[in-house]
Amino acid sequence: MAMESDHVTTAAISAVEYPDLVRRFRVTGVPKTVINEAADILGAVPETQFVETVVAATSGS
Amino acid sequence: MSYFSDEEMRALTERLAGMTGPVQLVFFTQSFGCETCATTRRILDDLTRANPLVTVDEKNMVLDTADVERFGIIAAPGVAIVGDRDRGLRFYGAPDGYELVSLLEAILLASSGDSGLTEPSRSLIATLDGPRTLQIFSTPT
Repeated sequence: MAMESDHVTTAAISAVEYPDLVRRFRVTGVPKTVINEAADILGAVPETQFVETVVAATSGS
Repeated sequence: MSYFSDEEMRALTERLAGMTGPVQLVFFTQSFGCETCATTRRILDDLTRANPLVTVDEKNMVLDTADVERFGIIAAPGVAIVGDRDRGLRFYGAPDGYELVSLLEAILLASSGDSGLTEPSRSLIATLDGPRTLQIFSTPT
């Protein structure tokens, strides 16, 4: 999605190396996608569902 | 010294053979407090040997603070994957196991400049009017 829009940035994060981030975002299973630190997607989902969820997400606090 | 075996290098070379444009890996490292920085550098160097379209530009988290801010790097080892321009692709941690697959995919995307998404997805993404920061957590196995 980052390739399509300058509004989107993506970061692949190793859950093994960054336990502080894992705790902060309550990562209990992978893959887990956190959106704007406010919403999330658990597991691998179809492209359409992924894009719809990201677009619909609002900004975090 | 190569991180990957000869057989693994052949597989990497084959995987990256489809690159069409150059990709710069802006690699953020630090001398202390980063157990996987050295390993990550070795892996990135192997990727440059797998395809000369891949280059590495090393930055220091402590000394190159302007670049840290410019690329929005939050931790080391951190890599900004830059093709024709910076499209916000980042990778954190040593790219080992399945995580290497993610990095390779990002390199190929940056190289092609094409997201590969369907037209409906592209149309929906075009409606975005605010930022979306995606942090994707995974493990090597």
